[in-house]
Amino acid sequence: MARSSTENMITLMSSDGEEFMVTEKVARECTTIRNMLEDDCVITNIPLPNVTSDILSMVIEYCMEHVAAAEKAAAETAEKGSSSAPAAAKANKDLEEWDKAFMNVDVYTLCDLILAANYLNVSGLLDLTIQTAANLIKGKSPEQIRKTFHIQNDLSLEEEEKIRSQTPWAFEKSE
Amino acid sequence: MGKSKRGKQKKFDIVVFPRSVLPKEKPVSLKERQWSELPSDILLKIFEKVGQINVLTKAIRVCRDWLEVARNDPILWRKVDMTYHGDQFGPNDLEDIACVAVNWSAGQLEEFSAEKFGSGALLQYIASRSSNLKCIRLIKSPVSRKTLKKVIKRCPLIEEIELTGYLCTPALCQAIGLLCPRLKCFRLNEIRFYPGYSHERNSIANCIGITMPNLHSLQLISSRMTEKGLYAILEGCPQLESLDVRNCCNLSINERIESELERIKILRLPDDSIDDCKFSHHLIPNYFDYDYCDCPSCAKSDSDSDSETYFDIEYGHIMFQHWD
Repeated sequence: MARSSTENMITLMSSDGEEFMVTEKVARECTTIRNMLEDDCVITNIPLPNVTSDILSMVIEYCMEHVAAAEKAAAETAEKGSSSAPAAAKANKDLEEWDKAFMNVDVYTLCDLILAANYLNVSGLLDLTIQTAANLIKGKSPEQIRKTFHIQNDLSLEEEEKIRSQTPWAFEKSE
Repeated sequence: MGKSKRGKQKKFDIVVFPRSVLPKEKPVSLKERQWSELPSDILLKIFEKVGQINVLTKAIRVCRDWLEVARNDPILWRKVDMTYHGDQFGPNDLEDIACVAVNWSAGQLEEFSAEKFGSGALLQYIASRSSNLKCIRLIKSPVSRKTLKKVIKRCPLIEEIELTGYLCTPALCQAIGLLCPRLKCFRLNEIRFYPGYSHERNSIANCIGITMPNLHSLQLISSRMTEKGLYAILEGCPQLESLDVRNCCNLSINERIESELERIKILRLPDDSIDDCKFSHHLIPNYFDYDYCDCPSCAKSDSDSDSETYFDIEYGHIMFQHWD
């Protein structure tokens, strides 16, 4: 890690006390942290009481990958004067593939990632996780959705009956 | 913000952040997060991506939390997009679903998009309950021109109108222009016409030029206008920034027009492909295609119900259903 010596390092501390050293650039991918740094530039140690170490390491992995991709694109643009469209398209596609593989997680991890992305305000990760959750819901019946996300049906019979009477079309076609 | 406190915080090793920069969150619990207990703002974001039809037909029946979030937050229903429904539901069911969406929007509906449904009754219902309606997109809607005029009359804030695969007439176009002084974006995409069936028609273009001076964006795919019509538009709409005249076969772009078009920032010309147009499959001509006539005696028939037109479109649609 040659470049880390020249860059500001920030320590992020997870709720279970684990410390993660990241470059300031990576940390700034989280808008919440960026705001703190802009508010007070001497901060080097940031406790994140809402994020566990396993989730924080995933968030950092995501941020590092996206920072690296952006740096690579910038370097290529600087080298050639202008970025070549096919190369940029390929880089985008690679990053999309990476995102897709990164989203290969169970629903509990996905839920924690959504909450962490929301709390740390990583807009790219929030969009990605929310889209993944939406894709898991789309095209499924309520029962299948409950199974997928391990949700208990806490609607009473009367409530179900009320929904049924108000939205009959939802019942005729979907099951 | 929090500046007076920050001085004190420096004494401690662990930095305590000002409340203003940290989102409010419950203290973390290490046990598995429950999907049914997601904060409502996050669930709303997910519901937005899931689409209103899926929310109303599936998600609200999952658990009480999900039902309450969908029912009690009008923000979710501000932009109701009922396109791309994949023919899961018939027009009648879609109308019912749209009614619930309108009810749950609690008067805050701003954008409504419908594909292959949208009767006059539904649109009147929407207009009566949505005083903030700014945008209406109708793709292959069966609403009659007469009713559409009434609907638009009740929505003076309208800034954007799309009529795709709809038989618009100069009279309707003029009414839209006069009733919607704030109209910034107008899309009128007609069904493509047969070669040899492409009589020149500049009256709609003229109406746009005369009655829609505030347009920023105009899409007229498959219009039958000629250069004359285009001049009328360019002259009457000085603020136009985006113009899409793809598939306008009567339009030949000569040098003089080219110089006039220089000020348009986003320009799509007649020969450009319409494949990337979202609803281009609705613009395929069919056996039951029809024509309108500009003459005064025919213009009267404008006030009749258009139910026949609707069925024509529908039969044509059955023919093309496999395109979806």
